[in-house]
Amino acid sequence: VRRVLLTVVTAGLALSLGGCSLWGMEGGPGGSGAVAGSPSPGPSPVDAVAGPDGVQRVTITLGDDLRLHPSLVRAHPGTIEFTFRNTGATPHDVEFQGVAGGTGNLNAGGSATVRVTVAQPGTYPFPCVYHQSSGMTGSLVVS
Amino acid sequence: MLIVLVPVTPAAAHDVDGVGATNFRTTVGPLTPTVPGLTLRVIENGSRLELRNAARTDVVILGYSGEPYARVGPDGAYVNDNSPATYLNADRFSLALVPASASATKPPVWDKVDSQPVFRWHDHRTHWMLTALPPNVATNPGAFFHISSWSVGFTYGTQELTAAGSLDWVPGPSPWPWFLLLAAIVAGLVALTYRPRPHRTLAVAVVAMVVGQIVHGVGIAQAIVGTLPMKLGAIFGYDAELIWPIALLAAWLLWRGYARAIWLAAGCGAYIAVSLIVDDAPLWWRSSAPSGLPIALNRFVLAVAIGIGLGLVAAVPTMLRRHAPPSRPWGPSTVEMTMSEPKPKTSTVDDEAAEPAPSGGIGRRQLAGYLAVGALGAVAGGTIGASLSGSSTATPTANGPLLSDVGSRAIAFHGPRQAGIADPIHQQARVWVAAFDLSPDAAIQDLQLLLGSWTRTAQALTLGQPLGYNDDEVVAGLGPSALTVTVGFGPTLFGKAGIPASARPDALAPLPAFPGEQLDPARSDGDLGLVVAADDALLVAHAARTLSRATNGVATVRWQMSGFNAARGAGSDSLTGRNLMGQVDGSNNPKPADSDFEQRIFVPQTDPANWLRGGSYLVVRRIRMLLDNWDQLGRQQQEQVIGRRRDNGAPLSGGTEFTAADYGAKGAGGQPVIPANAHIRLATPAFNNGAAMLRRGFSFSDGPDEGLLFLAWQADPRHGFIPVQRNLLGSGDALQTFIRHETSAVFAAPGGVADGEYIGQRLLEST
Repeated sequence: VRRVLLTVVTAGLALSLGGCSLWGMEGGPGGSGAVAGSPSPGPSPVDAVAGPDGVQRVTITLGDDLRLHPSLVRAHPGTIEFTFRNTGATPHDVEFQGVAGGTGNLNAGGSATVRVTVAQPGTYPFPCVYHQSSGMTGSLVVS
Repeated sequence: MLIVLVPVTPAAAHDVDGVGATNFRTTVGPLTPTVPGLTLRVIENGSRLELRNAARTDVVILGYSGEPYARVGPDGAYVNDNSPATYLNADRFSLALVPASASATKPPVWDKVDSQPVFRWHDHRTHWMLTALPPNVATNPGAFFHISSWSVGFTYGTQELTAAGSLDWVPGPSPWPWFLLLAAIVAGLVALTYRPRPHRTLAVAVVAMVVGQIVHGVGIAQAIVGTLPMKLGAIFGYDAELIWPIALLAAWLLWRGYARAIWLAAGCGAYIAVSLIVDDAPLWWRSSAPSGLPIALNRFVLAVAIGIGLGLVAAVPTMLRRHAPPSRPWGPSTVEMTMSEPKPKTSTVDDEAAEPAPSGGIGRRQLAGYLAVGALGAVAGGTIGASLSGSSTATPTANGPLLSDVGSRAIAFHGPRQAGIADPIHQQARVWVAAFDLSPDAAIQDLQLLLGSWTRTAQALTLGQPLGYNDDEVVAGLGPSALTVTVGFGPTLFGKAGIPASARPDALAPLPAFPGEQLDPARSDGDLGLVVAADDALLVAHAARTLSRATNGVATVRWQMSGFNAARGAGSDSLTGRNLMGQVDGSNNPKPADSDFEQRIFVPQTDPANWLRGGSYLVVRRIRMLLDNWDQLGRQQQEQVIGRRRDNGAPLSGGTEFTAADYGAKGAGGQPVIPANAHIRLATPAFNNGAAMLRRGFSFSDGPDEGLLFLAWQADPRHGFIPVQRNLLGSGDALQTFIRHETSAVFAAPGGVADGEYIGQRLLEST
């Protein structure tokens, strides 16, 4: 009899402890065991690197975290070549704003090269049109 | 020990369209400017949006790049096959593949998805798309957060409409009141076992637990926007139907006074409690859940069902100690009573009452006996059934000699559908396909006589009966061998022999030209199509000759082709056939058990052409295989082209032949395990808007002429062969390098033939 009681208590404990993975990202009571997204440490800017042909190049990866890595690109006026790689399972579609250019749909594993030519200094956002409202966006700062 | 052994149901069991209890809340404001008759709402607790349009003008929902994505109007709902949103929005987390042919900049290609003016979709602008919480929410989950504001655009005629909405984090209540209620119920049930006669009260508790789970399931069913089977699935779809009868048996036994039935009741209680805790406990501390019940009632029902379940487990020791007779050798050992135990004497009296007198009903031994007899009976029945279906039965025919099961199999000619489309489901070993052209001077009466003659011939041959012709002896002594004769009408028949061109169904159009194909027109198309199949080559040849002879100047053969599969009995019937490339062919065919099988393969009873109801469209393509090139590929390369393993037909993502392919699976280096241009990926219904067909392919091999006689049946080629073929060619199907489509034809096979009717009678006598 005591053994049965002990088993019940142990199993109950195991359940409540295992609760974190049991109940998904929102977790157990009071948010215990919730899955937290990594807080953005503030975007660390990356400079596009000019090649011998004068074109500035940068590679950006898109993942299932619905973020662009890096999300902040600095460049000088001229032609900037972006290589976008989709490393996740979800499709993405990056569109530049304020300047013509976009990847079109990028399925899982796909990549696309986009050249934009910017004469005016300023900030040009490039969101993923599918996941914009989830905060998936990047900025090109031309100075 | 009890709990550990209980299988746990998957946590997704109580989700509605991917959403369970949650603190995320999606709200939508009104459409602005307001249009009478247009209503937009959030359904399934935030999983989808629903747009209803009772107005006369179409409303177009805009996709992620502002392109037309879906259209809802008086004649139903349509999606734009060129909009990426069509593919992305099929899944709650947009785990999809957008075909290369889709592009927001292309003009829309509308595809009807619903005849009602209502459309529901997963709009990824409106809900939380990540599988981790927003960082600010995670640090303070007890506070309210506004996560994002979103808007969806629409066009209504020339007017632009917007619906703005909000995604918020709404913290849930404290679960402690429910935990206390649950604990009180557990304590109550344990206390009950200290009373003299708890059996019947416990029986009522067991029933209450089952009722609680049913009420909870009904609430979920109410929240599901979908078909009745989907709703019933929420109530009965998983473990429930297995455990409820056992729980009710336990309740009945307790009611009859069997104290040891507490073991059974506790087992069911543990099962129900654990599955509810795993699936639904978050309901207590989250702010919303997909359910038609008021949330407080839902939480209460959950606490009662789980409380009783756990209480039954906790009540086992005292129930056995105080109410089960201790004399049984397998009973629990008598435990030293503690000082607080009241009146052990009374307990002894109760023990006697607990075991009913022999006259009061079946005794425990009798019950065990019944159970044993029942189990033996089931085993015996199963064994006999298995031996009957497994053995090669020899069936005597009218003529006396015994036929093997290959020869004796007969497929009924009459019925609601023509034979040879879905029956027999395991296709025959031999086929002859032919097309005929009507003579220019053929009258409708000639055609009626021809189809009447074909009907009589088919009817007799499928029963293995002689026709009274000189050449009957060709097949003397042979059984029907699953012979089927299927007749179809080509697009060019309409406008000939008095059949008005206007009677041609829209779906019965010549197939569009596909890029890169070079077809032989002399071996394509035709006014009438015939498919004769059987498990014996002699029977097929005889039927082909008899049916061709009957055309007798009314029609002439335009083309004919023969094909084969492995002979019946040469391998196991349960194996999917292989083609000359060595690949299993047809693994992902729709199965008759699928709920949408009929809908995909057969023309619905609502079709305007009554002769076509229950019929099906046949696409015939003679596909040459460039086997010399194919043979130069290694096994691994071949498997990459197809997307399946060559040896067992399993998708490259793993499992067995019939395991669903996992198109998202990634291998080393992040490349998809099933390549992006693999044949099965591009041909699968999931990436073709559900387009599916029943392929009944046969091989052909005449010297250097080798390949696949591709026969595919579908409810409508515009939602079957045509989009799939377009996707294969447009997305760079790797297999296309090794095959050449040489001929093409499409036929509409009319519905089945009733007794006394002839094939196609409803078409030929309505005009």
